[in-house]
Amino acid sequence: MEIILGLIALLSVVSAGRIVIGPSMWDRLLGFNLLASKLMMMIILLAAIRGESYLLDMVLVYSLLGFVGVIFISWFVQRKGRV
Amino acid sequence: MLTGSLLFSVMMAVLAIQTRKMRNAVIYLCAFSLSMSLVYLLYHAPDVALAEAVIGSAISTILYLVALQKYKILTFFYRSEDTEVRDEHYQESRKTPLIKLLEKFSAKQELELQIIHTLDHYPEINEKHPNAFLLEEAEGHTRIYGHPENNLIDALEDFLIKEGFPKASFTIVKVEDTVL
Repeated sequence: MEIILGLIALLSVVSAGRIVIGPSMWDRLLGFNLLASKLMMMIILLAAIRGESYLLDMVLVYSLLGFVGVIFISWFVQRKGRV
Repeated sequence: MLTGSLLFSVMMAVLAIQTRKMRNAVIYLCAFSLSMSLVYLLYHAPDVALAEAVIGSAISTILYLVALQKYKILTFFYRSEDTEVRDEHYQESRKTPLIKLLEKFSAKQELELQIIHTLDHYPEINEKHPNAFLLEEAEGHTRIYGHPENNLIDALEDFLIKEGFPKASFTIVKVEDTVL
């Protein structure tokens, strides 16, 4: 299970690179979305390794609110600055 | 994994300050708070991580977007006869009475004044920045170029006359799209 955790950590570095270099804003938003989902997977794996179930609550809250944040940013850009 | 997350947070924080575009800074701050919440988790503080996830990802993003909506810029391009703009020239030109009047005008319109020194002519500027004005100074006479559909151009003319800026020393040129 630790191997999978390391693998996902390596993959999340790649999608973090998309945030840094991404030429347009949409690339950065996509990279952020990828990174968020990979971090959620990592936290779930961490909860399974440590046997602590309250980490799953955190993942639940983060997945709901991260979705709201991304939707708001793309809504903002598409409507040219009107929230 | 802890070191990686900390390094990533520092990188995102530096990028959020360094970037020229505000909307990108919002995304960088989102990624920053994401990795910070992972750091709190790895430090065995899940309650803080939960609060960071709630506040950092959703509330502060929406707050920054609403703030960005309020922040508007009035752009003036400034072209003088010199082909080369030196630092001394820049310092000097900041103090001219016209610039002071423009600052007053933008404060009255609740806009942020931004002055860009340029060598381009009006058509190129209008293509990229349709709401911007161009100031052109030659032999003590100032020309202000703007698009006629820009609703600020008449307000600017009225304001300059009302503030006692000598009428003979400036002309406002309204450039139509078809002329270009």
